[in-house]
Amino acid sequence: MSSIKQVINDAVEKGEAVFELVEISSASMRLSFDQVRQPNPIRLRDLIRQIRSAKTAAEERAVVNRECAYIRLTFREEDSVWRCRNVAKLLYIHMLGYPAHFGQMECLKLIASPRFTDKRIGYLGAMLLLDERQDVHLLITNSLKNDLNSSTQFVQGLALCTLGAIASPEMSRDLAGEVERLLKSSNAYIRKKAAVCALRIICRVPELMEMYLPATRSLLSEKNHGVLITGVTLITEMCRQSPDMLAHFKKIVPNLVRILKNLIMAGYSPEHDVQGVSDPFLQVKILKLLRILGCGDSEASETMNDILAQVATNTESSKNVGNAILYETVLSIMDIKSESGLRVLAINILGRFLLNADKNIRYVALNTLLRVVHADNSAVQRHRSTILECLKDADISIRRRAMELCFALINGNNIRTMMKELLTFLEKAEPEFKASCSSKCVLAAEKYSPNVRWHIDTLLKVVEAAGNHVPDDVVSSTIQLISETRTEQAYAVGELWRHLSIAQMEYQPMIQVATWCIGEFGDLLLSGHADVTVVESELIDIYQKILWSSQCSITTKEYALTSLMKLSARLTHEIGSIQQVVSAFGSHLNIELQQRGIEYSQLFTRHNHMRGPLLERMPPFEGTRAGTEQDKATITNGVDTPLDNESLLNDLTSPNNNAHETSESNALLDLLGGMEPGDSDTIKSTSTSISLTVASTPSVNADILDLLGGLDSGPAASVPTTNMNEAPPTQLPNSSNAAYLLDGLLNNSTPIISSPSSPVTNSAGTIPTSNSIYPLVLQKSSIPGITAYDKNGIRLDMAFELQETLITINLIASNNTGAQVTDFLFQAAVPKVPLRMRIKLSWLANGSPVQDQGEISNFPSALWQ
Amino acid sequence: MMHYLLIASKSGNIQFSHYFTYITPSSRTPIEARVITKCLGAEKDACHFLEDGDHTLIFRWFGPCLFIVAADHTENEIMIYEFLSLYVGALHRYFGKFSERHVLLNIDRLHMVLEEMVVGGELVESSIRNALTPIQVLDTVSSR
Repeated sequence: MSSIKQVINDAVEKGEAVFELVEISSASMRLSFDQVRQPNPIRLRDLIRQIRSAKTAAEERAVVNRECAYIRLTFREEDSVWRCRNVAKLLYIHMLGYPAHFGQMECLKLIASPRFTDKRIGYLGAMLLLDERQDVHLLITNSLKNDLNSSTQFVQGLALCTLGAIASPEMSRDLAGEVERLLKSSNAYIRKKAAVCALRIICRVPELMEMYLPATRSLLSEKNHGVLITGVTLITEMCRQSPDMLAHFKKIVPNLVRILKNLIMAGYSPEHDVQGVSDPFLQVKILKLLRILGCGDSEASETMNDILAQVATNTESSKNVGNAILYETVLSIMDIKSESGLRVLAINILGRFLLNADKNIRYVALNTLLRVVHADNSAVQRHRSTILECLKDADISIRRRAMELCFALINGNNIRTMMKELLTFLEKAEPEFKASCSSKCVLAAEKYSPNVRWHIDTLLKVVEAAGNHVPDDVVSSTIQLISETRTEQAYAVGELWRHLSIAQMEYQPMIQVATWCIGEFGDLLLSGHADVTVVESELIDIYQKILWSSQCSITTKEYALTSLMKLSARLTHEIGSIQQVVSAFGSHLNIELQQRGIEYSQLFTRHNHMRGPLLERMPPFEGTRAGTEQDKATITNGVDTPLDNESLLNDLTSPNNNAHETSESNALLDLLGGMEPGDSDTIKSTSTSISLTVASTPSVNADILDLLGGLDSGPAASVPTTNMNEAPPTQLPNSSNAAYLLDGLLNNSTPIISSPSSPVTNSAGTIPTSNSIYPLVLQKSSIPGITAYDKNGIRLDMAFELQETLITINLIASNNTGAQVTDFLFQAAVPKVPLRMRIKLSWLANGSPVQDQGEISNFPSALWQ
Repeated sequence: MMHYLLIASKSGNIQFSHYFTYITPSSRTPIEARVITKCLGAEKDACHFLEDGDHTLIFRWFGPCLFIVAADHTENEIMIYEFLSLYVGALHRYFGKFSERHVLLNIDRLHMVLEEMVVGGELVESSIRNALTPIQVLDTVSSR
């Protein structure tokens, strides 16, 4: 008993953290030890036991605080014997989340200690507790230097390990030479660690890369796999960072091929074998390096073709490591300039992965297919059915990848089947998917729909399936499509009526689309063209339900109210009840609805003679829908027009003029010029009667109209795909009365022109809309152009054309940031006089949002003379 | 490269953490909590690769312990999955038989074995025997 105690005491004297003490203690032994009033700090193990046995958080905190206080005390007493153990305990406490910064200096002292166990804990503490922002960090440098020169390989290894983990730029510069020397050491253990250390150093201080170049040459002729792995990783990092290095290392491709070949061909080697594959980790690293070296280089790629084919065919795919290697091989094949046979082989491997029961493999396969689908579409098409199956998988990551892949695979031939599957998917999808899925469905339908009826059907199904998560451009796309195709209007409105009569009031987009269409084409509905029999009173009932439902949003009610008004011109019997409903809204709490209610009621009373012609059918929208023009770049529409503005713009582009007194239209145009928010409502309902006479209007109106016209007949993805947001007209703060917010759309980072609008003329009627993107040519004009805005890398140039009283403004936005710009949104408001423009811009540069607003007042004076 | 390795229990408590890139101690706890909840929420046969910000999370259950590694998007996820297996294999060889108890009581050993295999987030040694040799030598030396 006493001799055992002696042994323990000896061990304890030596200052060991008593972790690895063989469990010689029997229960009684431990008991007797513990019973003695110990002057020594408790072991880490005991601390852990104490903390774990604490039943409440408060108890645990108490234990930890007590121990921390004790540790702090011993640190102050500069006790070197137990320092090691105390720091170990401190590290554990730190891991639990308690503050442990007072241990930093102690780590330093431990590092400086000659005892190995002290050093070990000290370096571990340094790694976990210190970071380069603290001053203590620099103090380690000296210890590190000494230890790097130590005679014991383990001490050197320890120092290299720590340096590799926490190297700061200053430290790297100081110690780079030492590391380089150790890279050439005769000891493989040291070489291995030195290589990783060098890797970190060049990550922190790229200029030091050249220093390590000579040493790397020999790293590849190693036998030791550890050194090989780190050597390959080091070279990979060098190639990644510097193109010169990349060119330099191209010549080692044959070496790499040889090593890989040896690995595969070599027999069983017990120390490197994992599940029957010889050192898969090294294989994967080499494949990665081959990928980087072969990317874009046909000569290097040719050298690799054989070995890649060999790996791809010989590797066992029944085990997970085999799959890991195959995955890396596939990535490499796809990235280098491999021959087509090899590519097909790679895609077939991915196809096999898709059928694998293991979800991880499937996820990885879908991920990779997504990357290659643009390059090798036909090859991937073969696996389409499997991918469609994955849409129904239980795992959310797989579903998400499968969805994206499906959209990439859609083409004219398979659109029907794909869309069917995707719609089923959309119905059951999570809300975060529904928005993106529905817009992509719309885009796809836009591009590839075989006929219009199918298109309309699909859009309706999308709106229905996506519920409330439909992005606003889908609603407007649907409406626009229906208004464009005369032949299908009856069918569409019939379908919508069917949906509406059974609809839940909570799905706004569907109700919005339905009410709009029924309002427009209600006569078709009632006359029986739409294959449904509807009685007028049924219609009114539904409308009442919508208008008084608490689940319908204000926007939906706005839609409904307007459409009800339109119906008053289409129905014959129920006009009185419509009038009642509308006038009831005159006292609604919501300002917008109240305004509409009152103004519409006016239409029944004072302007009853106007009501019929006013509410006639709207002409088809002239603008284009999202997706018709732009295929390559992804366009994000950032138009923020409220509903009334949108239809206002559409109204203005309507080509027709009814026989109306110019006085009326002028009055309306004046209102346009004034642009009170209230006016826009009135104008909205006077859809067809606005004659776009501008000859007699002040130039300001012309400007506005031109801007409106120009914007509306803009390039693809423009106005009609406006968001029917609830956003009120963005009144800029200090232009209270006369600012009318117009929205233009400028997309992407490529300079595009908003197409020059032809002058908005009178009787000619139609505004020729430009549906194509004009080449970047500014028409010569006598009026000097201006640079409207040039900040943050975005530049807006304006060019002007003046024809009599019509002003055309061409706006070019260019991206000079060098980074990708998305979600570009340009909003402008033009107050009456004098001619100036308040603009507001926002965009995403490399993912981070930028916003700016300003005023353009440097319009050339020639414009308003 | 790998950013950190965590071991958590079934109830979500953190039992071991090793960071290869420095993250301030105060922000470690929320990150750990978030990551562990995400991984605990996954079903048994679901995909073991999740996303957390710009890291990919690879997690694996070994008995009652959940091992989580956060790595860059450029890493081969299956390889890291296998690495976890390798690491646990090494621990198994070192301790003779590896159980949750060993995780709890031998945190420093875990750090050391891990350091032998991964330095600065990059794999250094793929052979268990080579990784354990230095530690075993030192153990015998210091216990004498």
